Amino acid sequence: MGGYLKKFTKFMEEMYSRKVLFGVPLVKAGPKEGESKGLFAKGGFDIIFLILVCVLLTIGIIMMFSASYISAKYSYKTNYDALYYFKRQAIFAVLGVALMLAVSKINYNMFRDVAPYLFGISLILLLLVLIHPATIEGKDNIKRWLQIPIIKMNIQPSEIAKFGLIMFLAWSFERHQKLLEVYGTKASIAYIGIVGMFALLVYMEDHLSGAILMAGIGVIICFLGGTDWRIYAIGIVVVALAVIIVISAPEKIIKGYMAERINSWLVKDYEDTGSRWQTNQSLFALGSGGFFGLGLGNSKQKYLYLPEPQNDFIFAIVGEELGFLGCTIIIILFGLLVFRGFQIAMKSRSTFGRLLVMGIVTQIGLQVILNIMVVTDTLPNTGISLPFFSYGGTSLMMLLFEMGVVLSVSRSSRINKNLKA
Amino acid sequence: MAQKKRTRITRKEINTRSIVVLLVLTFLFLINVGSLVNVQLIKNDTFKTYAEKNQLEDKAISARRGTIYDCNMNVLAQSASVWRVYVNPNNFTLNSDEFNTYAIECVCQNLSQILEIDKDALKEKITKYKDLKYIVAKGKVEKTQKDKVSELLTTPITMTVKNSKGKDEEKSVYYSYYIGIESDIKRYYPDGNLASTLLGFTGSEDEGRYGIEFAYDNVLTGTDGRMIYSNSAMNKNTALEFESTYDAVPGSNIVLTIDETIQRYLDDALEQCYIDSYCETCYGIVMDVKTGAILAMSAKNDYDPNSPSEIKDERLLKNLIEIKDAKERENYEVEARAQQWSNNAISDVYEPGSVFKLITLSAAIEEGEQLESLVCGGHIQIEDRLYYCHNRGGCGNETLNQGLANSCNPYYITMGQRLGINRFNKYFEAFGFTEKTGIDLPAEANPVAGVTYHKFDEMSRVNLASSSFGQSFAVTAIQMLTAVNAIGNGGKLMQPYVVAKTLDSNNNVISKTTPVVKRQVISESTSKRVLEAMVETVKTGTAKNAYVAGYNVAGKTGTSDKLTKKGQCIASFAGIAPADNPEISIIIVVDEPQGAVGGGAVAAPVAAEVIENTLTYLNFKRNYNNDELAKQNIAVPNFVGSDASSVLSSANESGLTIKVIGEGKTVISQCPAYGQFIPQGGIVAVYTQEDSDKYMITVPDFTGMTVATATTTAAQYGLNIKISGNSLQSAGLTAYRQSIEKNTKTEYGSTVTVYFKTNTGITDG
Repeated sequence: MGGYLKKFTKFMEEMYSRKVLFGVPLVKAGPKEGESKGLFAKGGFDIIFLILVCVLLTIGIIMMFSASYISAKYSYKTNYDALYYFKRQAIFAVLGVALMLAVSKINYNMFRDVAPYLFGISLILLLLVLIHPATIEGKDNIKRWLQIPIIKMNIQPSEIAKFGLIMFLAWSFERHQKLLEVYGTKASIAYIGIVGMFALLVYMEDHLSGAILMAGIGVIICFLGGTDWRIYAIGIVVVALAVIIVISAPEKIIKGYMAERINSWLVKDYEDTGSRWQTNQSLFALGSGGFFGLGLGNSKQKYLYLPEPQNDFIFAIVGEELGFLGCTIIIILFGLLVFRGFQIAMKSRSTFGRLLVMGIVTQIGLQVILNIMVVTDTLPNTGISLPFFSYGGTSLMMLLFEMGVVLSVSRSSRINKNLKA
Repeated sequence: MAQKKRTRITRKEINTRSIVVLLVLTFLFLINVGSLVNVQLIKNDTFKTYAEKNQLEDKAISARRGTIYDCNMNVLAQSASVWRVYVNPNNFTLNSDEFNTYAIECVCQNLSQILEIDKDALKEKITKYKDLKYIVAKGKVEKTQKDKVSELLTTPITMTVKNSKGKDEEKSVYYSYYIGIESDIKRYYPDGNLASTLLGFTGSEDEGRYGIEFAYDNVLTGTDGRMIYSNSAMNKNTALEFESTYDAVPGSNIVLTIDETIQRYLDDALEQCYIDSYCETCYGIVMDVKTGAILAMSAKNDYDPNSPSEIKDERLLKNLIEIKDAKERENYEVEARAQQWSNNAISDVYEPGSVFKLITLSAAIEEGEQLESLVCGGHIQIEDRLYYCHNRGGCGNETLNQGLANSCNPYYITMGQRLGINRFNKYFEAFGFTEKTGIDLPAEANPVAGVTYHKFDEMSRVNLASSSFGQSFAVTAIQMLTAVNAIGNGGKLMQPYVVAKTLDSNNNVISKTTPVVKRQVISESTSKRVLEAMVETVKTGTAKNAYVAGYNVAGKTGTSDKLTKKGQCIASFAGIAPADNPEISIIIVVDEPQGAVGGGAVAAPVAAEVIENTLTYLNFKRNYNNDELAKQNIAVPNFVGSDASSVLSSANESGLTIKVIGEGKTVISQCPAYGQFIPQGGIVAVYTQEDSDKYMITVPDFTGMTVATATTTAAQYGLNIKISGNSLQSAGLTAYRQSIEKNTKTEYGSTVTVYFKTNTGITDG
């Protein structure tokens, strides 16, 4: 008993001194040589990345408008206003771009100091949402939102927590670098444990897709951060086995609607009008599109077949209107965005900057991949939105904020030719 | 230390791992692309088909059903545009419950008022089928009601509702969100009952149910057009945003061989017969001798195809009311409907009786039998059966003509026995009594050996005896007429038909029926000889009542006891006119007439009336013999403008009786008008004063009068009489009908046609 108390006291002392943790010295972190020192970043940002963001955002808004037009026009929820979703998304896009540009001007080194706090806030929010979720009209069974008092705005803690986790891991892998060197596998497992905790909290919201995404991003950053690679080798085998077991008998292992979704994904009944309805309509839309598509605005499936075509299944309408050709171009654009992000990251001057950017673009990449997998029925229907395309004001703002962070890092990255010289 | 080195995090390490992650992501993106290849390029046809099946509602646009014309392109049946009003129950589930309930109430209230339908029933239907997007509120809506609904569609349903923040809010949804109108088609039969049993009628789905409508259903039915529109989950209005229409191809039109005018003559005559003879049913057919085309076909009682289920016949209605048991009454109603819909002329079989003697006679002449001197002793014994002649005293030695004119059974039994079973059956078969005639109408009765007629190999001599005068087997009217028609057609048996042509919607000919000669049954000379005997029968024999002055009518009556009902009989007449150049053949069958029962008394006058009207209508010249000539009518000269006194003097020369009405000197108008035909010595009224009223008289009742009394009575009343029907030299003629009803007022000098028939010397077998 006394031993534990002693250990705890020592841990608290270490935390307070901010110099050692578990007897391992911390790495001094701050602006590197050639980086701005103040609040604002100097130097130009990566124009290619900005162009990619703007192109995707523009295509996204146009397609969101096309997809939502009919469902908005004939829904009493929007008061029969065809432009309802478009107007809102456009306003958020404008605000978001402004936010992105503003954030890009901030010296990313400032985020380093915020990281542990954001981590704490994320944890608290994830717990809060489990205790007191806000309900949204028409989606009574989903408990993913928290209502901010006074302004009565609904936020998704998991969205914030994703960014919080990325930032925390980036910060920690830089600051506690020696920890990993000393404790090796043990430390690696601890990191995976933190990621697992986040994912579990999100899973407890009945938000499987969010949990998967959270785990995916976390695990990838952990891998990038230098944790023991053997964990991943074992992990892949474990996950593969788990998937095989779940697929073989879904209803025995997981509960309720998820098992049903997995079952309907396995059976692939195209006449089904129940749990597969949305997936089937999505496939019908994509199939109708063929190679060249029906042309912009000519989707038929958006005529109230595909429920909420402006949300998670927007890519189906994209596929119907722009065809395989358009879809592939959009996937390539997303791929380029991710690739450019990695380029910026790899030439970044600090580990924090590197992992932060990699984490952000990996999140986008994973979201796109999982979304398209769902839309094409490669994975069971989960509910992951498509960045830049799916309707949602706060998530668009969040996304553009993150893009701003990437741009901020790019200002001091060696990818910037001006600085290279 | 080695372990430490491996886990040491360098920039290089991170970048190496970055490349691994990039490769993994790239791989996953490629999986995405692969999935798209699978869905959009490989399986796209399957999915596209599913998509179209789902999203495209395929609504039929009713093709206009073809028109049915008579041979002179008069419309007998035609489809007209009406509308159908439907409701979208699914749209009542899309707003708040409170609003939905209110909207249902508004919609049901207004529709029930405009369309005159049951409000609660509609409400129930909407609630019950709330998953459907289409239920019919009312079909076959006429324009006035449709216009009212159209107006309703442009108005909103408005209600104050609480919004999500709990505030009051005006909510309004247009009626068009719930109600729609589409075009529909209704079948009209402008002539009502006329030819109804032949035409048939259509059901609620515009499908032919009986008669021509049924037989030619696929010709008359067009190809429905399609309207393809987005079957969106929410609103019919989305249809405006994408839809395509494939026009309906209207059905072909049909031109019948039926002549509306002749059909009306037959219909009217049969209707009168139905009333007068109080029969169960009566039916008749008029055929074009040379082609086998049906000019008219009618069966009484019939129905109005505009409302085929309605029982209008007074007798049936009376019976119906008398039935107390509800179930029994329902059964009777069903039977009554079936009866009025049935085309007895082709569906009913009856024993032809003496009319069939024409066939036996044809066979015997064709086979060269000696027929000019056969003896009737009043009865004849065949094996154990004794057959009597209606003339119990015996007809004595009879010639061929006499044998037929007397309708002497022993004469024909002898003839039949001489022919023998084989030769008799050869002609029985040749004349088409063992097969359907093949007329292009549904429900023709099918002859069955052993049931409707004797099996040839089992036929006895007794069977042969009764068969030779038309009993112990049954035929349809169309079979009998087709056989008799062959006698008028130089021995050629025709296939009867009613459809002359089919036309496309622009009245271009698609197909034309060419008459079909089935076979030569008897030689031309035989047919001439039989016709001659038939003419004699009408002139002097049992078919006297079929005599029409100036038209050489050939015919034969028949009366057969009904085996199924004791004491009841079937009276019939079959004839050909004019005999010297046969144009039409006719058959009239009266089932269970009451009172005067024979074919000569009941059926022949009907035929005479139809023949006279038809041949007149077809512009056949009357060839009067001397007797007839004496009684021929004369044309009224023109008196208008002449001096009243000179009119009187000239009248004496012409033999007319003139009555001058008024004080004036000059004739202003006259009745009958100039050029009209009146009997010699007829009456003409001339008016000399502008303001003088027409001189009116009351028409007397002529029925029961002889020709002489009727003529005198007419003269006394100031009426011109036209004598119709029967052979003029025949004795014992009495009037049975008149063209102007008794006790009605008519102008002095009007012409009244009085129909005469005889009741003596017309009894047959």
